[in-house]
Amino acid sequence: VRKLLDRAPRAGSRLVIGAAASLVLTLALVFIAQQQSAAASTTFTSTFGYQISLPSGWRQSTLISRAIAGDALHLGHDVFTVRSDTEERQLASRSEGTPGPAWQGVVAVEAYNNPTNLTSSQWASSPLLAGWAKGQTLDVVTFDGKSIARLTNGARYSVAYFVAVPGKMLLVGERADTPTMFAAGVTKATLDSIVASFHALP
Amino acid sequence: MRLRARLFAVLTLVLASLLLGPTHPAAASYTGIHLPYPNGTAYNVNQTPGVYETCPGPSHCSSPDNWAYDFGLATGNWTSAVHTGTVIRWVFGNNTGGCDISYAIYANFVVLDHGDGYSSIYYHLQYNSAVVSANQFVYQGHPLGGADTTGWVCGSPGTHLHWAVETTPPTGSSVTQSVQASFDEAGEPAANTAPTSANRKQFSAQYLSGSAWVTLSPGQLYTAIGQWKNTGYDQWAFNVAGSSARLGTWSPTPGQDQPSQVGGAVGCPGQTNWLSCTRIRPTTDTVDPDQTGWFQFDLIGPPTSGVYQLYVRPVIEGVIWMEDYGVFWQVTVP
Repeated sequence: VRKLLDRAPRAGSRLVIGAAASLVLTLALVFIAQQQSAAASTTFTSTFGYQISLPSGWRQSTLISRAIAGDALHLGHDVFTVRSDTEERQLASRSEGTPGPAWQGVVAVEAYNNPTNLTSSQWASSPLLAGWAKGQTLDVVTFDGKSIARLTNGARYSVAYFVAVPGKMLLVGERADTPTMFAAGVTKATLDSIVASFHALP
Repeated sequence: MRLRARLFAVLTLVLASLLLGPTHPAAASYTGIHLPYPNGTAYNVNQTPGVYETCPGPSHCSSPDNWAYDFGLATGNWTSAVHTGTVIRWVFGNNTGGCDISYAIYANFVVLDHGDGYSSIYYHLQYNSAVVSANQFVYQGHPLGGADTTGWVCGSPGTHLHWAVETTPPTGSSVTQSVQASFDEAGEPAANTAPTSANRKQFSAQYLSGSAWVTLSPGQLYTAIGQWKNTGYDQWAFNVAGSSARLGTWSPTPGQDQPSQVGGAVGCPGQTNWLSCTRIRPTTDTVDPDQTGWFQFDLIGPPTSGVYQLYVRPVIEGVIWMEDYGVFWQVTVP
């Protein structure tokens, strides 16, 4: 009995030390993972005049992005996706007509000519320019440090932010209305975080 | 060995069905719809639903789109509502397109909610060609917009209407599942046929009923009633030029736009409550599609004995004589 009593405190302190060590190790691993994740995100600088941060594994789609020349209205758009080029092409081969699944779970930035410098709200509230959908909501939010119009549940995007820059309008949108078509691991929160990183360049 | 052969056959069949898709409809069709272009016009079926094609193929092979049709409308050709409904999605601001998925976001389109859990979609419409506005209620046959090549379109020429019936998307959703559809006048048209649309006309009338023929003494008045149903997609509006419905006198007696001996306005034989010598107005100022227009008017017994007939035909004044002519009232003067 004495032996057991003598050993008990020693065993208890070993247990505490072991638990503390594993906690420190876990915290260290979490910290390293966060650092690696942060390091893995990339900043994409667009010819349309903005920057956006992409998490690890995300990229600008070369298949779906497009620059449009010679159009009075459209300048083009960038699409950001976690899908590989091969995956996108497989999805594209099974559609035509409507955008289809390759356009789901992605962030897009569209660039338009805006020669009369319409404001963000003017653009977003024009059915011809922004489209219209039953149940859509239009409000003004702070985005990229400015007060701009946000269109939620619109005809083309689940959420779209309209950023006016001199002579141009940049639409930052999420195609997030059909989560069953998202690539594995993509969540609305992921799309939100990418959109939140948008910054129009001067 | 036999077992292995059977297994091989079964696997081959399963593989073939997966590659080719079902060859027969799997569910009941959505019906009560007309072709998505104006009455009397015919366009080629460029592409049928993917379930009838070899997939993966050129298009209509992914599940949301696999019951879609492509109709070979040319640029500016009107598209028409296949069924009565409300516009719930409206995009007409794009003027670019091409045979590349990157253009897909630039399609102009309309989604029409039929109010029964299903909606029809009309894609690749012409920039700023909308005939309908956001949230507008339209009747079957109403034009929606012109066809074009906006968005993701292929072929030469690529102009076409991409059309399907889908389950109505909830608020915020752009993609739902297309369903099997069958047109009243064409069923499920085959590829490279050109079915003619029997969709509703802008103005159309169908005779329903009218008061009986009468025997009158000379100068005696009788109030007659006739009912015509508005079977077009536009409202009859008595005070609006271009949509004002009337009954007009018709052949053989008294003849088109001729005064009748049994009716007419002041200065015309009979001096009754007609709108003019040759026109009768409806009792209400407006008659919506699917509603009944009532025409109430006096008949008068002519001064000499005989059997008189008054043929009438519904007309949109200055626009078109409508259907169901051959209707007449008979007045006998003993």
